[in-house]
Amino acid sequence: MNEFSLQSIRVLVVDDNPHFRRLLVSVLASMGCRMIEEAADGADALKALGHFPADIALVDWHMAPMDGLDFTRVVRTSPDSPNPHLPILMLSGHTELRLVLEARDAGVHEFIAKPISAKTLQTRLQATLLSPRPFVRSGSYFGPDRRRRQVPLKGPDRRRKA
Amino acid sequence: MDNQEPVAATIIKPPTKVEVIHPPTNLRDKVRISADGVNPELLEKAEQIIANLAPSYLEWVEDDLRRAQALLEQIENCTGDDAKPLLADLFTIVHDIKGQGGSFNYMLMTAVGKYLCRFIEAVQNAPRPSHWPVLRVHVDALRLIIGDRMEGDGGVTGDRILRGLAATITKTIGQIDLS
Repeated sequence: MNEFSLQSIRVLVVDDNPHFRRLLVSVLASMGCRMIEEAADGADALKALGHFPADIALVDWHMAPMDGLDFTRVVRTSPDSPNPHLPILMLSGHTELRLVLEARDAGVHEFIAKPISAKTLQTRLQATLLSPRPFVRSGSYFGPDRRRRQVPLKGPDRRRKA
Repeated sequence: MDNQEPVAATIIKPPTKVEVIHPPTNLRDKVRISADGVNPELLEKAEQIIANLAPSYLEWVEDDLRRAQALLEQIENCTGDDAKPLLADLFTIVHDIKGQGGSFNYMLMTAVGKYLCRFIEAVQNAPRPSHWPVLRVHVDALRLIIGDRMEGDGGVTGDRILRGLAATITKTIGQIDLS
C-alpha cells in the first residue's frame, strides 16, 4: 500500500507566529501525525521537551526571547538536554548562505526556506526520519554529520567509532 | 658556504579527536512508508489543506498589514535613531509576511516582503527620514497585492511593481543585494 504516515511520530513545532504553527500542524495532521506539541519560542520548547519526548522538532529561527539557533545549541550541548540527538529541522525566511551555514554549524539536520510547500516538508521529514545521520563530536562541534557526500579520504580515517 | 634558502618553521598541530556516534533510533520503524517513497495522494491532500487555509491567511495577513501600517505611521514621525526599535518591529512583521505568502500562492507578497526586509537590514543602523518613503511604498505595495488578490507572481503587474521598488531602493541608498 502506498503510504507515508507519521502516526507514531511525536513532533514538536516551535514558531512564534501562531498562523505559521497552524499551517504546520495542519500539514502534519494530513500526514497522519497525531502527537504534536506546540511552543512559541526556544525557551518554551525546552520546557515542552521535559514532558513531551519529541522524535523530531520543526523550529523557526527568528523568535524571542530564545531563537531557534540558541534552542538548537542548548539541545545539542547542555548537560540538562533531554535528547542531544533530537532531529531538528530549521524553517526560516533567512536564506543567505552564511546563515544557512551558521544553522548547520549549530547542529540542525535540515534547513527549510520559508515559504514552505507540503512537498518540501514531506521530503525533508522523510529524509530525516528514514536516513538517520551519524553524529560527530569534535573540539568545536557536536551534531549531525555535516558532510552530505561521502568523499574518499586522502589519508587515514582518524575518526573514532563509538 | 651553504647556499640553501632558510626553511620556514612548520607548526604541526596534533590532530583533533573526532568521534562518530550512531545514536540509537527507532524512527525508521515508527514511520510507515511505501516502497517508492513519496505518495502523490498524500501530497495532494497536504497541498489541499494549505489551500483550505487560504481564507484564513488573508485574515492573518490583513491583520499583519494593519500592524505594519500603524508602525509605519509612527516611524514617519521619527527623526532618525528613534525609529530603530520601530524598524525592528516592522522587520519582524514583514519577515513573517515574506515567509507565509508563497505557501498560500501569494509569491508576490514573498518577493516584496524580501525587498523590504533587505532594505530595513541595510538602513537599520542609521535610519533617516529620507528612508521613510521607501518603507511607505513597500507597505502600500503589500496592501495593494492583498487588496487586489494578486495571486501568484502577479504577472506583468507584479513584475512592474518589483522593478519599481528596486529602482526606488537604488535611488535612495544605492544598489543593495535584493536576492
